[in-house]
Amino acid sequence: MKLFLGMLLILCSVQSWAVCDFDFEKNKICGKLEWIDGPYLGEKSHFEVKMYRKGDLSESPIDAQVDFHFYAWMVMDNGHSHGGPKMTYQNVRPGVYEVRDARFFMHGMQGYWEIRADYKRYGRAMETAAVRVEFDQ
Amino acid sequence: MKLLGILLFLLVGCGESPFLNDEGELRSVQAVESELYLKDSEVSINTFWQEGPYVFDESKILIILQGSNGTTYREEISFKVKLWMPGMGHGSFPVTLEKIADGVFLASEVFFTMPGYWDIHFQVFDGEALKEEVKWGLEL
Repeated sequence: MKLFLGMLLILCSVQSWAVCDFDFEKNKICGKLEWIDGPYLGEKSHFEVKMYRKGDLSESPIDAQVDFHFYAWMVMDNGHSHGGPKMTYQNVRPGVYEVRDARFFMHGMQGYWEIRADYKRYGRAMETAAVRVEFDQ
Repeated sequence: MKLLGILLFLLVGCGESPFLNDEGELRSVQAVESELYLKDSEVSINTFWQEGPYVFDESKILIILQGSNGTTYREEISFKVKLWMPGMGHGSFPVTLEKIADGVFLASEVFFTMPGYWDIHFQVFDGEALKEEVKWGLEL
């Protein structure tokens, strides 16, 4: 029984660590991305990201001392990677950030889009994590 | 002698004001950023930056179409604006064009996603077919 409970606990921890869209390895923070509407090409998309401490099974929202900066990044096949249209993000609930105006497009570009998040502490960017955006074709 | 000098200065020193014509009517300072011409449609395009131009952030352009008679263009026109970066071979997020009044449009969601040379294409369509276009190039 103890062995079973121990295995269950380990499995849950692994699960907690596995589902981590934005993986801030150095600072042990996990960000879970949820698409509310989208993602789309050529239209605005809407998403939320919940940030919590890695290993926290309850996924309690992260404390208020930290902040995040979200932006789109185009990883180009030709090496000329660049940013995308500016996103407006809001801290709508503790540890939860919302973006209603994410804009992605291809229009001749060869590459793929990422949503990048800078983990900031006291106004300073400490680490960056990224999630590749997959579009329905 | 001093009085003569002052009178002479007033006579010679004061030129005609660049803001007044012969009738004394106030002329406006040229505010148009750029003037482009669609030859087939006989339409002049006047552009005014409402916001920007910015890199990454949203820019907005007020566009006034002027007919050959000098008034705003009142005919039905299928008009679009497209961004293109010829050096990189790609465009940008689709520009939103809102008709404010006859011949007056506001282009928003104008996103220049990287610094460098961009062409803003002003296009007239006949149905789905591109009838003519003119480009406005800018370096950001």
